[in-house]
Amino acid sequence: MFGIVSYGYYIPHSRIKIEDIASVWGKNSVDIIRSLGIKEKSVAAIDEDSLTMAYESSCMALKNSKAKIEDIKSVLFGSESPPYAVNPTSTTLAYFLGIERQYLASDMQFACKAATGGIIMANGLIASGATKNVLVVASDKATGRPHDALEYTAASGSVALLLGKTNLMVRIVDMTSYSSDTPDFWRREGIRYPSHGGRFTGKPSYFHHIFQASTTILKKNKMNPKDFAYAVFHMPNGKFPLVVGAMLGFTEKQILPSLVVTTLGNSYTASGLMGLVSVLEVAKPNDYIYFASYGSGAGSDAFIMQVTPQLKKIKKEFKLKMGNKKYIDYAHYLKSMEII
Amino acid sequence: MISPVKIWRRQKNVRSLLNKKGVVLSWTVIYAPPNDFKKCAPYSVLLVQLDDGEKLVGQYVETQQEEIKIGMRVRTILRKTRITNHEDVISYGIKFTNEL
Amino acid sequence: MISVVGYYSTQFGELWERSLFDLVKESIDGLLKETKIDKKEIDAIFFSNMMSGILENNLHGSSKIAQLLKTHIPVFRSEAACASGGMAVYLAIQYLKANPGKTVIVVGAEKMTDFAPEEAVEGLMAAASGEEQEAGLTFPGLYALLAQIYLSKYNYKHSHMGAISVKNHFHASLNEKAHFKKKVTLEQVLGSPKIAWPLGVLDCSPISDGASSIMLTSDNIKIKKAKHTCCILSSEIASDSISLTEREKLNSLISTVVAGNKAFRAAGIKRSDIRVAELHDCFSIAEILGMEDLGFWKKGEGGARALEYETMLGNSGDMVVNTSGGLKAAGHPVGATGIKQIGEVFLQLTGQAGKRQVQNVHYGLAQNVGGSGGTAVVTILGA
Repeated sequence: MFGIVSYGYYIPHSRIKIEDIASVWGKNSVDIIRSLGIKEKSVAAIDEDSLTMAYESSCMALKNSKAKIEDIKSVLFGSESPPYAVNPTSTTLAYFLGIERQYLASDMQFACKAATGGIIMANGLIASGATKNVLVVASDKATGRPHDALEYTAASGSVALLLGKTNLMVRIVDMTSYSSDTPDFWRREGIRYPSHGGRFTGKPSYFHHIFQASTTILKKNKMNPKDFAYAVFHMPNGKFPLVVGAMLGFTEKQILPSLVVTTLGNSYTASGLMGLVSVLEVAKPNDYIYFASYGSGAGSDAFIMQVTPQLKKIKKEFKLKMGNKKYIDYAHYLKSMEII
Repeated sequence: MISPVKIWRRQKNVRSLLNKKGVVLSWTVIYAPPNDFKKCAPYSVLLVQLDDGEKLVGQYVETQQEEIKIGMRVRTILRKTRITNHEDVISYGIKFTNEL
Repeated sequence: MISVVGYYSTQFGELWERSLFDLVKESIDGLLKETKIDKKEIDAIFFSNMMSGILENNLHGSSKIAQLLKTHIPVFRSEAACASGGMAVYLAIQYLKANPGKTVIVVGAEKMTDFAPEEAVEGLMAAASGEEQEAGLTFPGLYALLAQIYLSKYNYKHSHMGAISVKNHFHASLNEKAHFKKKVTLEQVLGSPKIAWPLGVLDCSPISDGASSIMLTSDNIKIKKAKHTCCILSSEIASDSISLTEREKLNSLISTVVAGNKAFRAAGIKRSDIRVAELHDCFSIAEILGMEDLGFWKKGEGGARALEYETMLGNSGDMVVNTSGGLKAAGHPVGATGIKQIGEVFLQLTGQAGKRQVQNVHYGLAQNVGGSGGTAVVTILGA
């Protein structure tokens, strides 16, 4: 058995509306909102970074579980915006959580799927007996280049998963990973903003990898889209998940409950996982949940999950916390992101 | 540049102050900051007495000054303290936000 | 008996053409010329300065002074943040007690305007704890925290503090050496740009350059020959925690209370005997706290009495405070302040205060505070 023992999340307080970004560049906000399927995105404060947000989501995950700190002998941190180019964040995070000395800390980067790869690796660590529990944390304070399309979507947030083999809230029935060398979105060392291949990020990238990973895992487990209560996909915008879902045979009804990108934006490594949290808040015991992440460069991690009765025990506050927000203008957004 | 050793030593104390609650004894808003805090200005600073009796100072992260009152309840959180030139080791420390 | 036989201050202000040690030399030369005493007759020098190390990477000031004066006499440096000057005078007095019949110069100086305000602000924060620095506090911020508690506890408003700035600017308009000689109104003080809520620019002492020196002696021949002289009745120092969070009280600076009690006891006089005083008004609230902590005003009544301008020249009050203009208007070159304060009391006791002269002065007091109250020096002088 392997799965999620508990989870935590953190959404920063501030939001900026898409129309407030569009108006600065003289663009038609109605068109942009329609084509991206996003109305507003979350913005971390100037004194927040992927570590401070990871600390918040991890605290929540630990608070929601009875697992002992000494049983967590591995901390895996995935981000596309770590505070340092060289210096692990997993160790700082572990330290503040009280995890010390005999444990494995690892920082991972793989664009938006940096953390989900960690879930697959955690399975191996737990199955080998190296540790009872693994803490996998996704966290990003993603910056888009001003005037670029990504400026409307790149957002901030964090999700932490405490994984184990007993007392599971969500059983991970199976997982798979599909990888290739595809340069759809990248950032060179020392360069501030990422670059991307425009429409190349669509069919050969996002859609191809998720499709391949999904068809493989579904076939292997002899399952069909209709067997699932919900389907959660990585959300670079509000449209792609619905399109790839349709390609695979999932319905809008299965996907919409996870589509938090509309009001939170794309928090990169935390994006899909934030959608998963949103779904876990409404899922019922024995519901099957389909989850597929996507990381540029490129790859997709696909998971078949099943909810257990234990999920009832966690306090369902996600919608409430999502609604706890305050709007800022473009200048304050630039200040928070240290662009000015 | 602050010594990385100093930051390392200080972190132990930071950890012990996380996830604590207390009450505001006094507050101010800084408009003329020292260099390392320029990018955050203006910001509020609180003098808080924790429920266990210990007193400490730290920034308050919600930005409306009208909201702060002596006697208000707050809790400690982890944030970057200094926003400095990009070569330094990052200094993380205690700040305050509203009690949940 | 230890007496002050001379005092000389440079102009306080933005003194672009003069370096820190140019100011030190100017002050010492001025003092020697005025007292007509040759440098050969000086037995030791006490030097007060806070930030030359932090801002200019210049320490070992004692040796620098030896170079300037071409001397081999001992030179001592003291630092206690803004109380460096008071501490230097205290140490000079102890030296004279241990070495009877000698003559010393106490000189304090600070060069702050060579640097951007943020650098000076940061340098000054070296007088506060690491935790206070890490919270992004500044000295205006620390005193603002004290002000908020005081105003809230005793039901006062900004105007109760602001009145102190109005008074001190009025006094400074009569002092040629003051940094700011312009009078200000209460409206201007309340409306000045905020530095650390509720303190505005006009509640805060400025960043200034300057040097002050006094000559102290226990040589009776020199005292007899001196044109002007007054004696040191007592000089006491008390310390307290550097962090505000470790203080026993937040509506009082206990270091001032302790030093003040010791000083009055040692001098054998009453509060009501004091006719002039130089108090440490680094921020308007500080003078109010000082008046209460020294026992001149009851705890909590300071705000009301300040707004009545009771301690202003020309009013019928028993005591006039900060005829020099205080730190607020005369300026606050940190290392020089404590010595300037004692110098001003000396001028009052010897009838040399010109347009600022208070009548019937027999006893005067100087209160010099370091940081947010970590050190306090109280000196009582008599005619």
